[in-house]
Amino acid sequence: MTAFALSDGNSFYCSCERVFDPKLEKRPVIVLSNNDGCAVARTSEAKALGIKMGQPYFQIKDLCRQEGVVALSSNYALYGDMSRRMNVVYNRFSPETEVYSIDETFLDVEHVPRKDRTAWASELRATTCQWTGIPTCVGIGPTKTLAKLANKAAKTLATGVLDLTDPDEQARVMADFPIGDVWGIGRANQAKLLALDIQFAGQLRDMEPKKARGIMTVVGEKIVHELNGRSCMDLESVAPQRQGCAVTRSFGQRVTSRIEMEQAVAGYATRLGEKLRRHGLATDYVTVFMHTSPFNDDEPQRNVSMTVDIPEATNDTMQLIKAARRAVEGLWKSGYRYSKAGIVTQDLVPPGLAQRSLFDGLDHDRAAKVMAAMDEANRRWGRATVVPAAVGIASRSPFTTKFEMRSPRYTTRWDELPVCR
Amino acid sequence: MLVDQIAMEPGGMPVPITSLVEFQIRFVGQQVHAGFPSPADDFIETSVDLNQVLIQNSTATFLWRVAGDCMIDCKIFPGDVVIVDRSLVPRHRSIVLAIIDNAPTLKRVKRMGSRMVLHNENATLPAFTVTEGTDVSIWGVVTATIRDLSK
Repeated sequence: MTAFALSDGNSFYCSCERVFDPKLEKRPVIVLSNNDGCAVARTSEAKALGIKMGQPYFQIKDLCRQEGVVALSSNYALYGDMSRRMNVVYNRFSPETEVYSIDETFLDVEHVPRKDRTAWASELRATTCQWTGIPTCVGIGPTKTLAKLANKAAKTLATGVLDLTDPDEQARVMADFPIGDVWGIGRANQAKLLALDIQFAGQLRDMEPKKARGIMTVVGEKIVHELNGRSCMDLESVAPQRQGCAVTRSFGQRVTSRIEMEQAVAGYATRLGEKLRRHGLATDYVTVFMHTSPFNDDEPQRNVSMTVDIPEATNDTMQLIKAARRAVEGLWKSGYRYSKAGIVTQDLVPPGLAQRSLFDGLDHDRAAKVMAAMDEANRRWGRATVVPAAVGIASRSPFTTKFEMRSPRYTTRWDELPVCR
Repeated sequence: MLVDQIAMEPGGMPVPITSLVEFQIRFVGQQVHAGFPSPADDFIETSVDLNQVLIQNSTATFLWRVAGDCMIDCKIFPGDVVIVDRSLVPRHRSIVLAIIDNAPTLKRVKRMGSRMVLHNENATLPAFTVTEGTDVSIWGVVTATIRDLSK
């Protein structure tokens, strides 16, 4: 019988910060999204103050000042490194793992005898905390959905570990497990189920799979099977090939001039190129969008997008920038205060499979060499060490992401190491 | 690559921990493209890797910058970088990174009967004592120091 464990870091971003700054221990801490927009991670102390997930920072700024909440900008260099370390620990405990998100990983636990699974999970948890300093919770179940459910339930237990291999245990936990917390039940489906007086996971488990399919398409049917212990989702130890890719960002300050917009979009195209090359993929079109802030409804509003074809699939940053600038050229209209722009592509293909255009004037080998050199320089000396001139001078650009309250990049920069006496 | 290109990259360049202490010694034999075969070729082994002596468990190893002088008698000076392994259990005479009342600090662990006590290694400082109510935890064990002798 299959069995999965799901391990995740408690208040992961906040925990990463606490590892290197003991003064944050026992204090309410929140980590903010890009541009310090809203709270994306909260310690239990911050939750207790009523700060909600995704709450805009401007709404809670006063509360944070009064209550001594430490608000920090996102420090993705740090979180990424700590996530990598956690996964190295996990790999010692299981032959197969699937990194589900920056702080969540599924582990194959079939190799662990049933009676030993709780002890195995406790050991996993203790080792992760000892080696990385990150506290975690571990849920175990015969399906991914039940492992996820067990993980959620484990959050309330002092041991931080819950094994739901046993059907009686499953029934006990599912009896009062809120339907909205079940993995895969979105807000819309939650509303539909509540309308049918299905409030708890146990009730959904007992629903006819066909009926669930009628309400929530094939996903609903899968969830019912998974809640019954029939595994429908395998471990995806290799990340599925990316279908699409997007780089979108809110501006630190409103953008009102065309040159700023061109530079911003060129910057996103540069980042898109990096992402595509990292995954060995290419695209033959880009869609660029830009819009004003819907929250400033006294200002003139504008929300536009344009797709520009590239003659053949590429991941050459220069080609992507060229296409992106053509889109800006077509979309730009002065007199608006733009708050956000982005670049999106779909239908990504490996570069080798891309159809060659009939009159292609691109020098592929040369472009590939230039891109490889640029990626290597940026990997070595930090992002944006080398950028195409079209991006402009980063330090003066209004679209540079705001990280005003970011902690040091403790584990990836010599000049930002943590300091001890 | 020359050794001095790698050591302590100046200007605070980002160096991932796995690559920071690795250098290769090139054997002449690898670079000879013509002429008679090098007699050294048969003896080439893998390169000397500083990770092997400085880092046992890279997953659990972190670097800290030293700002204080409480350990100067055991030759840990302000400005040094200490290599700290969280997976090691502190033993008698281990040097540890301790968190004392929320402040990270270096101390020497000594066993006194059944108890472990922490010491400064600086004769000019008053003895360090843990008083009632002091919050102490061990963050990790110091395994080595890195000092830039050119500064």
